[in-house]
Amino acid sequence: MTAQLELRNLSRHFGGIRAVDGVSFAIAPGRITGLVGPNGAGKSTLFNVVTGTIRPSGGTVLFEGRPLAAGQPGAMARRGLIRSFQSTMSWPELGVRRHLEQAALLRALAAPRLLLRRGRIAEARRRAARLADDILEFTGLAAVAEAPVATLPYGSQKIVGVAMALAAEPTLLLADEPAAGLNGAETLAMEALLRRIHRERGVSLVVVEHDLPMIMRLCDRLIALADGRVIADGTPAEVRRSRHFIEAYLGSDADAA
Amino acid sequence: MGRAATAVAALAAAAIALAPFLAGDGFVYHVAILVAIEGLLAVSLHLTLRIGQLSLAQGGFMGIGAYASALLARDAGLPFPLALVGAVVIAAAIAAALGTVILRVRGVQFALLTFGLGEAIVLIFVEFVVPFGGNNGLMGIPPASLGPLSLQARPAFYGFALAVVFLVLLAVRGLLAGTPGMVLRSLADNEPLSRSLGTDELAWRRLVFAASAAVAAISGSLYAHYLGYISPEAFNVGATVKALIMNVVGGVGLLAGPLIGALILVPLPELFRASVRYQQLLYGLSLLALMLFLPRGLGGLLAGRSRP
Ligand SMILES: Nc1ncnc2c1ncn2[C@@H]1O[C@H](COP(=O)(O)OP(=O)(O)OP(=O)(O)O)[C@@H](O)[C@H]1O
Ligand SMILES: [Mg+2]
Repeated sequence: MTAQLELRNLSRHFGGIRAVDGVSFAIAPGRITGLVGPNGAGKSTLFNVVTGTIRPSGGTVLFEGRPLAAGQPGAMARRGLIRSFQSTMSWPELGVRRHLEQAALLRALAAPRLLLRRGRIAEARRRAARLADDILEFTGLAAVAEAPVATLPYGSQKIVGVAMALAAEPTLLLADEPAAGLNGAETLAMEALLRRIHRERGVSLVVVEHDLPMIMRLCDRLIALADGRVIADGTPAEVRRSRHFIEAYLGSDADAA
Repeated sequence: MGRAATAVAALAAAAIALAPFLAGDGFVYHVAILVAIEGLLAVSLHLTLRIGQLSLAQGGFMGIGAYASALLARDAGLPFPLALVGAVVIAAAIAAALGTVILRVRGVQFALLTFGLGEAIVLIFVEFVVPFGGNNGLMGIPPASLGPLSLQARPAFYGFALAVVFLVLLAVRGLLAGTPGMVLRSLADNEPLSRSLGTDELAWRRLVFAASAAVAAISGSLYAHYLGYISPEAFNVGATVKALIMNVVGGVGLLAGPLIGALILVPLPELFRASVRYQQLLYGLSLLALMLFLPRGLGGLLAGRSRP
């Protein structure tokens, strides 16, 4: 069975900084994979490269067996690889429902030539409206459907971020710190939401998260990065026992705390 | 804009557009035709501004439209409407092909790149005496006509130009206010987010860039067949800068902005004709005052907060 996502010796350097430095791993379809590492480990940069937002300095990304098209941000998303952002992202002036509709529409009408097919726009709009209703229900955002995103509490804004990604109908969702800045109850709700996205909607997940207990509960496999390199890779239990992981991640975390 | 305000604006626009017919004066027709032609160039620049790209090559695309239309009509013997369509297709195709490369560049670099492109286009007209006539340009361009209907007389040509402007505005509105407009706005408002959802930003920007070249080419074709002769310097960067000033004066955020700007700036030199010495100074001071006191342009006064 081909891997859903495969990274081969992937690198991204910024001047002298090796933000991602020779990372290789393959993820089988249908999994929840955790990606952890201290601040600056290269997790977000990895997402940026994998989604085609920035070019790799070296190495290859394969999604469902096909390579990343160089210099075409958006191409991976059109194939079903959707990411959510570490910082909250929204369009000013639009309410929650409109965000979900727009996310669905942007995926459906990604390129101008798609508009030429007869009836495509009307069909895409109907579908986007249905999808928005569905996801409002699914994520519990229905109560604030008309509220401008920027006016929502931070926890709800983080849910909107994931909900928008969901509206673009991913087969693989890369979630960048979906629980960052959330309180205990909100974190549990986010964890439950991610689990339901996986189980009920059949979406594979790669989740970047600093909350170790949460990510260890959630994922079947954990990959730990430090200084742009993979330092541990295995089940959460295996990674927790790995010496490199304890030194590089828990060590620095314990110092900080 | 409220409904009443929209109705008033539409009536005012219609009154202004039809005024030359009432005046019935040859010179008024002439100025009105130039407003339409230069206004179209300003609309073409407006399109590039909407994708956040200042293109200084629009004068060049106007030139491509003018030369293509003139040569297709004069040397290839095509009737004017076909020459016009041919010119539009050629300019749009060139812009789409170039756009794939140059639209990857953003901001000031894009402005500089298109500055070079605009100058290069003019240089090609100068250097390639065959078929472009070098510095002398092209003469004897057949006047416009629609089948048996001659558009040579100024009232007829103005009527035609007015219809063209109206159709172009409708098309541009369809582009900016419809589903494509939704995509373009979402890109303008949050590019990383839009991209993360699959938007092929380059393809969208290329579409708008090609459309902008098409509108510039229409302007060029009208210009060529109205005057009957063209020469390279009419299409240099100065023409684009004038179009940019029209956008700023009329209001960059508004589709009517470039036309409002053309309506003010094209006749302006005629008003100051009596005081030629101060013409440039008065022009400069008016611009300065406008930008200081009306940063959203004159159109911004009418529009309130709404977009097209
Ligand atoms: N555009 C950029 N230009 C220069 N350096 C960058 C850029 N983006 C990231 N970096 C650097 O690359 C390294 C990795 O950053 P990245 O944001 O990927 O880390 P991260 O693992 O996501 O950290 P965090 O947990 O804080 O989000 C950091 O040293 C960062 O400063
Ligand atoms: Mg990060």
